[in-house]
Amino acid sequence: MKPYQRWSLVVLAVVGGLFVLVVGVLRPLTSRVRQWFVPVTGVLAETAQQLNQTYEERAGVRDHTVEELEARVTALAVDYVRLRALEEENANLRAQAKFLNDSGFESVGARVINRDIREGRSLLTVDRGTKDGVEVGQAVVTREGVFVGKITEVTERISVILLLTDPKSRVAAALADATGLSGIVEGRGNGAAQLTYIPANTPIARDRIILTAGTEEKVPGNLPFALVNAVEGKPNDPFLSAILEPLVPLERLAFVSILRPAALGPIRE
Amino acid sequence: MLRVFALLLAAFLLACVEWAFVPFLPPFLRVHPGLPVVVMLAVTTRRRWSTAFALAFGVTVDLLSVARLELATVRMVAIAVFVQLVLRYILTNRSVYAVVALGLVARIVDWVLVRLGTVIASVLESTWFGPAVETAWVQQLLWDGFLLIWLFIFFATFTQRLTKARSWTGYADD
Repeated sequence: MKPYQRWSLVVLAVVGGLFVLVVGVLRPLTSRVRQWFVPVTGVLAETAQQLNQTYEERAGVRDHTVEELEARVTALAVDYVRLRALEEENANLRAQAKFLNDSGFESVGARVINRDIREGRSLLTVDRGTKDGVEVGQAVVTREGVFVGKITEVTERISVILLLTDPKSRVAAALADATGLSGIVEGRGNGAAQLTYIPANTPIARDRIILTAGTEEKVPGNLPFALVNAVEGKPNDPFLSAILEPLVPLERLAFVSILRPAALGPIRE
Repeated sequence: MLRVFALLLAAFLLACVEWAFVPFLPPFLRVHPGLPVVVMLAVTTRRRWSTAFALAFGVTVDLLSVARLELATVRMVAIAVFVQLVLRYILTNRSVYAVVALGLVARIVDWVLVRLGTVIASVLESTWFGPAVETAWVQQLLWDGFLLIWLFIFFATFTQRLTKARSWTGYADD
């Protein structure tokens, strides 16, 4: 075979490959092949997470006092929101640790197998897919019930989570102790998010807890996810905005729970 | 046949390591081992071995990357071909310096390909292109240099790949 023929074949193969990729003809096949990789990637991801945790503990990167305080703030926020929600429903307060079991939400646990937090993007890949009942738009929470993002892509065995700090993320939000929609939370891409379109008469201040509004089809309401860090806006502005800080460190998530559509039913007593 | 299987298995495992293991490590350990291995295979074995490794590695990474379009297959095969051309016409000796220089040039070519893809993606109003794990460029070059030196020493110590006289087409017994 002459060199130009060989190179023509290479160019044809590359163009053909790109065409197949863009059109998605091989998607069912790639989805099937991909599921073979999940066990290996799961083990590798878990090992790396444990190694990283050991390194951070030994190197003093993690300050246990700060971590404990952060955990307590999260726990208190979750408890507070749960108490308010249950008061409104005239129900009893349930323990934070039993959030997922008692709140009536069906969840599927998922292991984070890839992390893509760079250039402003905030995405996680987890080892659950359509076979586990996962659908695009479903809410993703931590084990304590703190909302962290939504499913944005699903294959048979793998799903991608768009974290709430991603610039493409939009979440309908409400203030704790307030009724109705308070605004839209938009990711800022730098580990923070912004609550926008807050009506000027809304009583919002630093350290207020932000919850999901429950107006989205697959995202239940009253899931806490952020604290107000700063409020921006002039007295004459029709709308205010607020800089938000997530309740949990999103870059350290190793396990999450995906709330299935059945979770959107009424809370069981 | 056994060698082909071992090569494909190594490519698959290395791709899994780069995709699922590296992102969770401390930042200074985030290394991309695929490219140095492709370079070292191009230097020490027949050219089709490095191309096959690059292809298997790239396909595995692309299969795993649901969140963004990495085009790892195209990038890795292009780098394998580029490295073979440089080995044939420019860096014809096989010293450790030549191997490290070749690896660093290959990494720069990879960055150029990534930037090119990013520009095309931005024109198409898509921000999903690019490798999922990005490492600081100085750190990446240092890691590449370290891995290549280590691989060079390994091949020089345990094989005769770097001591035998060899034509551009590679070893007859491969």
